Amino acid sequence: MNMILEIKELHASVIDDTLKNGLKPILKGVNLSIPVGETHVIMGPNGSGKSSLSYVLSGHPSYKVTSGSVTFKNQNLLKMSPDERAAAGLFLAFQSPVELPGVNNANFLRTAVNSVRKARGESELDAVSFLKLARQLAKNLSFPADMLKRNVNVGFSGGEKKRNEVLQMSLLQPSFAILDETDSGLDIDALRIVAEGVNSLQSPSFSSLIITHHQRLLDYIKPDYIHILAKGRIIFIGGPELSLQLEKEGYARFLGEVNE
Amino acid sequence: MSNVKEHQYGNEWIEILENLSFSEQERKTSNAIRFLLANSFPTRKTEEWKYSDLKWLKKIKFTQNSVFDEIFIQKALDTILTDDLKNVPRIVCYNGRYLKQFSTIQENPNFFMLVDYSKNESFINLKNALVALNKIFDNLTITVKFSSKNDMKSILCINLGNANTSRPCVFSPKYHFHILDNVQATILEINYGEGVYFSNSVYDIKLDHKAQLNYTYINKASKKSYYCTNTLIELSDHTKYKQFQLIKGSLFSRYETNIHLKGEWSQAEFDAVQILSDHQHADITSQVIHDVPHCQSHQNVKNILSDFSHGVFQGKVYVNRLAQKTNAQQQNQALLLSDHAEINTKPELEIYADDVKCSHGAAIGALDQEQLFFLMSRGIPYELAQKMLINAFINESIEKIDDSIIQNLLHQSIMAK
Repeated sequence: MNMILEIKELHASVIDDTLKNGLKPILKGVNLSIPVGETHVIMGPNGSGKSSLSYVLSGHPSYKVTSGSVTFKNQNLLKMSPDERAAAGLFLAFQSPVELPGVNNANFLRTAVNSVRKARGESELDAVSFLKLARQLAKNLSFPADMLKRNVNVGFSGGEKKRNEVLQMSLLQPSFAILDETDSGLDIDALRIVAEGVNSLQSPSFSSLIITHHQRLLDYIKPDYIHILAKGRIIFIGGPELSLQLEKEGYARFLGEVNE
Repeated sequence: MSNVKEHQYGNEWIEILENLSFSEQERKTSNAIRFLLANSFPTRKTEEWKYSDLKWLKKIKFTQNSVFDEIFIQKALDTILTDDLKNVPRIVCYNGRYLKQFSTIQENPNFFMLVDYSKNESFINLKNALVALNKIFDNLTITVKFSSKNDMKSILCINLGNANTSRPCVFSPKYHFHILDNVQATILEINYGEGVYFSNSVYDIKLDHKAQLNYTYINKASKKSYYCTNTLIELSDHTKYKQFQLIKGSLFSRYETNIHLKGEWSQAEFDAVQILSDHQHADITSQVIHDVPHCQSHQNVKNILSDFSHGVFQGKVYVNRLAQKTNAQQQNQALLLSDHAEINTKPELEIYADDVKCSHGAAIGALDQEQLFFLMSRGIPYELAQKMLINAFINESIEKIDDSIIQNLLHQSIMAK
């Protein structure tokens, strides 16, 4: 089977200067393979390393990979800088996107799109065609037009920030997206709009990894597999029905089987 | 020579004056020379010069002579005069000389603009070494009056410097800008040049009743040049003075601004952005004196320092006993982009009135790693991401400027190498 992402025995630590050796281990041997075109979900208790996994995959400087490998489209992902990963087609929708005072949203989006297009060997978009495209996509996300004019995420509500993430994803056209609790803090309508935004990217060549705590998002986005991440490792893999079972029974049954 | 050496103090000045070939007669008659010799050479032991070292002034053998280089001047003007600026009335100076043929503001019988080369030792009453050093030369004094009888409301001052002799030249222009009652004026000054030279200018700025002045100063001179300015600004009642300085050029530069709020209900806003790299050193030293009630002063200085550069901010706000209801704010924010870059910051308040609102602060930091990562995760390469965040930091200051032409010019100057 053709894999877009293959994680093997991944160990990673967060850099923490208060500790003696400066590293706090978070991921303790993650194995995860995602075939091209599939949607996988990661669920797991708080503090199990879900967000850390997404940061490690996108190259956050606060994390250090201590062993293991990550292959993305047959390339060594861990050797790439965050911008190279984005150009290669990886996208992370952040759980809490940062605010960028003084950076205009439209300028930021256009710079991002053109950086990625340039790196992919495509022609850059001029201001007019970019704005046309951005306005259309923003409209699809029920995004007020003035949000392109405002500074990135400054004064945005929680829902607006998440929609801005989906807008970025739609513009950057990734082949693999990680959605880190993109559904958290969204009302029912916003959840549907965001899910539709993600679904609009679906194609046989698009894969995604969705981190969530709730079954509700999975009413809109149909996963192929659900993984349970606990204590820094994938401890269980199941089909789409697993999320309903977890909602009823919680993680206790699965956690009982894991050793530290 | 002997006459000079008779003085007990200031021996270091003697060598500098000898280099500049001052005649014995001149040394005897000049009060400014006497001032220099009576005071020791500024060193880092004196409080005002604690963070900036003038030792280069002793090392470099400056000369007052310079060669007229028309090709350089033409090329420089072609670079500076963008379409937006071409039609703004301008004064062009080159190595401290007024260039009539390149200027579009000429001397006129109503004295709205005057050019004078005679010695003027009484020009502004600021007692410091660099002002005295400016005054010892028979050098250019340009006077511009903005009056309601005159159409001229916006002017462009271009100050060119060029090293074209075997010894670097020094020039010491004096500018006097007088804004008469009820007039709103705009001055844009661009400093540009190549090679090693020393520009030591002095400014005397007066705003009369209800006058307004927007002063933008840009230093994009060669990174080998030396620039020092001393500015005295006197504000009458109901005036509004807005100053913005963009400092990118020069190896060593120091900008001393003295703002004297003399009339009630006046406002002074003076911001600066320093963008330094390599071994550049730039010092912003200011003193605001609130003498009367109901005045405001706001200062915001931002430093963006990379490589081995060194930024200095020394700002003092002095509120006199009578200056009740003063509102004074002072802020310095420095962005250190390298482990070797350095900032010395000293915001000071001295308050003798009891019903005032004054604040000051300094913040020093690096670029936010989370913001950088966010931009990079969207495919933006590190250097571009860094540039975007730096621009965002600077934009806050530039957005306060009302004139869109000047805003654009500042953006272009910031982006240029």
